[in-house]
Amino acid sequence: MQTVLEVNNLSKNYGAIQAAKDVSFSVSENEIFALIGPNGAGKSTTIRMIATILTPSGGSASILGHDVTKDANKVRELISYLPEEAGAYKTLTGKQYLEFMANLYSNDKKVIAEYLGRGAELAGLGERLKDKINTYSKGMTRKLLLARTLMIKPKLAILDEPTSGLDMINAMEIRKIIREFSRQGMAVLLSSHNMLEIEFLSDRVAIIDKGKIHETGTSEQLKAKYNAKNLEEVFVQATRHPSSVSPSL
Amino acid sequence: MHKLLTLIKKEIREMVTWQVLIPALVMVALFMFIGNVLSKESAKAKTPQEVLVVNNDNSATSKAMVEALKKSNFNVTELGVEALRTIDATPEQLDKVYADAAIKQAKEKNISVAMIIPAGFGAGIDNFKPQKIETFTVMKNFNFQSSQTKAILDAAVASFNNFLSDQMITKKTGGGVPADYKNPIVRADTVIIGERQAKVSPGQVIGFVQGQATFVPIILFIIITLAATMIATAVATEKENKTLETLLTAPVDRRHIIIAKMAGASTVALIMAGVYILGFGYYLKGLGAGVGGGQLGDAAAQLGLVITPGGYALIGITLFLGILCALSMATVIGSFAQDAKGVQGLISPLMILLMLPYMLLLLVDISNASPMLKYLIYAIPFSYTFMAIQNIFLGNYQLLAFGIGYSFVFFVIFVMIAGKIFSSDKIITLKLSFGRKKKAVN
Repeated sequence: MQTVLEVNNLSKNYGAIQAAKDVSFSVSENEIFALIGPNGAGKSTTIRMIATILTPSGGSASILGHDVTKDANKVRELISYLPEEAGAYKTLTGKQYLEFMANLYSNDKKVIAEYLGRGAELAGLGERLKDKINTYSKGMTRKLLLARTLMIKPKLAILDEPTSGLDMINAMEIRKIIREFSRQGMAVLLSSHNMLEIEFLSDRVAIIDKGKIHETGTSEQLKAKYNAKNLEEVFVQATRHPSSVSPSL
Repeated sequence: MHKLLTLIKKEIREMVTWQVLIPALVMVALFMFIGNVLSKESAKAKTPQEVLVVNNDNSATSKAMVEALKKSNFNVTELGVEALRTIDATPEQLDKVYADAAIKQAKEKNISVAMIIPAGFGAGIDNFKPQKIETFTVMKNFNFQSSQTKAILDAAVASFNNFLSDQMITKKTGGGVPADYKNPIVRADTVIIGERQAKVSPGQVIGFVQGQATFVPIILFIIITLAATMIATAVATEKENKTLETLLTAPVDRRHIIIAKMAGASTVALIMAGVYILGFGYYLKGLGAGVGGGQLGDAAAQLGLVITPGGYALIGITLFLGILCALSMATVIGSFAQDAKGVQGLISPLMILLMLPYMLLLLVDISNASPMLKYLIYAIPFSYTFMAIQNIFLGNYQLLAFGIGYSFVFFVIFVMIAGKIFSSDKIITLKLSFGRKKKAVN
């Protein structure tokens, strides 16, 4: 399977604070790769560097061979990013928002129509798509944003805490959609501090804390290595012993 | 181009809302109302003023004096004194009776000024001795209207004095023309502006120019402030809602994001300019009726105090550049704000930059200002916008051209700074907060 995202020793410094330290991993087609860690672990910083928002202080990241710093414009054509707790333009209707975003990804009317059809279906908001976004619940807005992220079928979807703040039903629905798109060939990089969600959703995970990746592997591999019942136990053990940093499993 | 148009369309949709348009429409209505009130008040001022006169003298002189008052656009109500006279009353008691009657009558007939011409008034004047008349002013408020009441009293007394002094001069000189003695100097005013000159009084010219040059900057100030606040808030809100993060990862030229925001805010500014000019037109119409703005006629044209289509184009260019300068600076300012609330504090230096030339140009003659003050005014791009009309009237086209060039360079520099911020991660990482704790970097 083709490697979509390749990250090598990626670092980000904010003055004396090192938010990400030599982060390395890769994500392939059809794969859901998750960065897990507590708040402030460096997940969002890493994701934002890959999404071309932040400039790395060191190391590199490339998407299908295109460097995120040197070839940012090309990278932006290949990715779609859903920020944590992102909002949408409240004066627009859901439909207008999807139209706006679709027009930023293509000039072709046919392609735009295809994006819009897919977006409307993914959002599942029916007639409510014609309503202003400021009338939507948090769950509806999040579904609209996920639909916006996935409607263009990016090579790499970057999802920062995709189910953050959602109820169980909405969260399950969103997980199902992500899985479905991954099966169709899309690479997914997601972050979450919900370990159970990650265990269910991801093919491989990286445990990140204090800007550093401590472990990388499948849930099963990591649980076996640490003789743990779940990823939460893996996380506690892996981050308790900094010397335990080992190559990817 | 397609993506840029998409961005512009979105910005206009976001910025041109009823919340923006309704206050503007209210302003137009307000301008129309003020214009209407001014127009009515000025019409009222042209109608004869009401004065109540108690003529206790009844001499030929006092009668002639009252007739002269009637001819000077006064509507004189004379209170008959015969019925008020009582045989037993002393002169002091009679004075009190007349005064009470005059006040009662004035109040009943809603006349604000009453005057009592005492007995022996005419005889005293005939002997060239100054005489006293008693006046009563009914004051109902202390606003603009009350100053009009004072003006009525002053004008009525002036009319009496004028009539009596004319009479005295004629008598003393044996038939001389009073005006020749009162004003032996006759003014022949000429006002010079640059190379142009016209036979008109400086007071009229100043009144005419100030009518336009004082209020136009107020409109400019409102428009520029609104546009600047709007774009800074738009940038800060995008950061706050994290819609900017989404936009920054989309395949669009980041300079287009800035251009689109500027286009949106400029559209609002232009709509506002149109709306305010419409309202201002009504206001000026009312003001014109009030101050006789049309009296200058040919003199204004001779002095170049008429804005030609070319002049309007130059004013438009300076206004547009002023807006662009404010927008580019506000874009940079908005980049520092963490949220829409933070914009209020951050934008205040820009407001001061706007306020400073506006206030200074109202109060200071820039040509005679100290070099430091002069350079300070010239360093602020908005000064040229505020000075545009005056520069056109005074024929200072060199300064106007310099202002256009300077504002353009200023705008380009700030657009480049904004472009630099948007092209790097500084748009996300730049933060300026006052007394707030920094958020943890995740």
